[in-house]
Amino acid sequence: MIRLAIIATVLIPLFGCAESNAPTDTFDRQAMLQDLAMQAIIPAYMSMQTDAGAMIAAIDALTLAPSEVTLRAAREAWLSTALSWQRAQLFDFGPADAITGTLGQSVNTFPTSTAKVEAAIAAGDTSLQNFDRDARGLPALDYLLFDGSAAKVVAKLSTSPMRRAYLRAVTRDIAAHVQRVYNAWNTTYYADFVGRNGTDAGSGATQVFNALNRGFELLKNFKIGIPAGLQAGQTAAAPMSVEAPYSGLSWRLALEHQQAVRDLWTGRVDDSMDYRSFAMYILARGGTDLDRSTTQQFDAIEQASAAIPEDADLGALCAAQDPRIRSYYVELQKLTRFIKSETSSLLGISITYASGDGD
Amino acid sequence: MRLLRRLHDVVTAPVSIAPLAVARVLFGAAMTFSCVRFIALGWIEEQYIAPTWHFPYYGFEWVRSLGDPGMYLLYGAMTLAAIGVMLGAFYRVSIITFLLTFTYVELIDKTYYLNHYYFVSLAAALFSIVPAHRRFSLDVLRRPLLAVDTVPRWCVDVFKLQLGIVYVYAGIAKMTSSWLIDAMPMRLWMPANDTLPVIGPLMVIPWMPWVFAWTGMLFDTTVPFLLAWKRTRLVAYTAVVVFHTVTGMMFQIGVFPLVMIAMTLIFFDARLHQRVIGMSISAKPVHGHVTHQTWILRGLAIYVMLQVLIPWRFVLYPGELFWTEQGYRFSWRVMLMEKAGTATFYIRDRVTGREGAVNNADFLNAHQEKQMSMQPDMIIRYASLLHDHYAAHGVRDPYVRAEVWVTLNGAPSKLLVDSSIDLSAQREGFHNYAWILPRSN
Repeated sequence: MIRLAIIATVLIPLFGCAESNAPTDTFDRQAMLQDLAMQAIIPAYMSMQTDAGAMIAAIDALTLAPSEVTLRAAREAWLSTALSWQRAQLFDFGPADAITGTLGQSVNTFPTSTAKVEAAIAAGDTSLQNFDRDARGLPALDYLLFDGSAAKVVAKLSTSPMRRAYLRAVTRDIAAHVQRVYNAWNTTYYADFVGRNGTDAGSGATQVFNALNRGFELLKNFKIGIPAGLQAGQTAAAPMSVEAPYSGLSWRLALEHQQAVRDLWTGRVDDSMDYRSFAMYILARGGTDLDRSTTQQFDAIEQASAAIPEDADLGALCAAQDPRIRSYYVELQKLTRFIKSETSSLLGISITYASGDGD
Repeated sequence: MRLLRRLHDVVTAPVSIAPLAVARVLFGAAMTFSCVRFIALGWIEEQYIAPTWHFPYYGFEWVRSLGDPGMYLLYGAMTLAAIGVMLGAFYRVSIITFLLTFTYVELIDKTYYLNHYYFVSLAAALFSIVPAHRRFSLDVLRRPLLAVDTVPRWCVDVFKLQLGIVYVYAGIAKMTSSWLIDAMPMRLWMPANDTLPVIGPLMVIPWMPWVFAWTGMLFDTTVPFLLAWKRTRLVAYTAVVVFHTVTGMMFQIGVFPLVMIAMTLIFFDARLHQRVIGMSISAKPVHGHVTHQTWILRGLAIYVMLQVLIPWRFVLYPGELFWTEQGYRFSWRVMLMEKAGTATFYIRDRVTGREGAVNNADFLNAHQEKQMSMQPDMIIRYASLLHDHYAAHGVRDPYVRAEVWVTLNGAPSKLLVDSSIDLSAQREGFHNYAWILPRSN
């Protein structure tokens, strides 16, 4: 009986594999993690940190001498930082997932509460030692720097030292948070991350996969869905719920967000450079169909977004129930099954972040 | 009638209690470990306290999470009971407490359904009707008169039968063309485990998935018989250890390998067990009797019949079992398919016609969402919860529909359910769910 079993187990696969099309390429997951860290994650935090540093200088100049010139520079510095954030936000795990909240919660909780911002300013409270995350971060700066005409913002800043102090504190708070995460990646976390080269719930690949999906859901549900009034239970659009309602730059940021997701998926730094990421990984695992579907859907998303001018006011379009927003949202929605369930199935990556037993 | 009498004589003949006592100790120890592990991993909070919504079984909707501190107290009682079973202390109270607390927890949410949890409930039920504490236990130490040398044969063999059912059905379930011919989903799972120590390098050998698939099927279908036969027992047990260790490394299956490695020891010769617990049977052995034995045996006959029949109930439903999952649970279909889904629910106000998408993360944890996104009964339960939630939050007469894209064994996703119908109007039950779309839609 046993002998029979052994013979069967040896023989049958020999017949089986003769006509199999199992992928034979082995994919070096550890090399992918190294690429992700060196080509995507660390550069994203580095540029975010550089931009946040430049923003501190610009805000200091503005608060030292409020004028339309210094304000313009500060606004530009804010935009650079907010654009950098669109890439860094896709890695909200590991050192970015602190006990007090993720980096995303700390620096980009929106919509901002203008009431809380004004209350903190009125109280002269620049400690930021509370859980009012919707009173700081990039969205609070969007309010403080862009609410009203340049002249009005300058006037408000000129007359209120407490407003200037709060502006400085929020800017430094953002930089400090980013600095902490960047340092962690540059010191101990890199080796830790690259070392977890399996596919279990705690592995590096699972972390990036889930962070990427959460980052994508953030775009779909919170940056587009809610402002456009497309989420369940909404009875109207919520234009003030866009990421940056005061600057009117939300669509610009959303486009960058969209591009960041695609670049991370395909492993693209710029047109000339590729690194090992999910696209290469699924191809190595025989996922030609999935790669094609994903590419086509990314193209469809880009086509839908191209119908809306880059400088469009997302909030206004949402308020006007512009059909192009709905079309864009629908295309985003279609991508989920490819980058989430189909990919996790093909790669054997866990969808749950915490571990649990299965059978 | 004579046959029945002879059968009765065979199953009630006295056999050494040692294998049963050892099995009790090992089962109690494994369950103690399992409880402590569950608590230590923070899963009480994560699985039963943090989620606001749960997915109870049909007919058991009254089973609710006891919240905080209720769930902790329940787990505390369960752990103490498991220790009691292991030590044989206040055995009846301990094993029945364990059976009830453990099963209660499992009934709260089918998200966490595992075949081995089902096995634990069944084993606990069987342990609660046998005198497994009447040797090598604190109860005997307290009251030496309890000690017996033998028990009726069925008290030991019912566990072998139960284990046999588990393995054989797990093996039969693997006799499909996708498992054996395509080596699916082994071909998906194995490369994902290429970084494991020792066995990692095996995982990327192109023909290895077929070896694993066939070995798994042959192992499952034959191992209970090879364990029962003396001449093959040692080889079979070695295979048990290797098989469960390897699958334990490859998959997140918790304590299941441990439980099976421990429980299959019951197949070994009584003398071995006697040596282990330092027991010898005197010339005039004390026979342990089971009260109401006839009734218990009648009940067990029905139990065994159900155990044999339940895994086949899927044939009563149309469609592909792996796709519809009608009759999938409680059938020892262990690690058979790679299935995942993306489910987007839409809530429409029937008065205004306005429709919006649900963010599942608002209501479910990642584990719940993952399971719900591919299982029809969970989908309608969720739809009904969403209906009530949004009805209470201003949506008038909500119409709940869903686009559920499911991928099976790495194939491109297909819609699992009719995406136009009001899922909240569908009722859970044993009837066929006609709104499940065929896999080839």
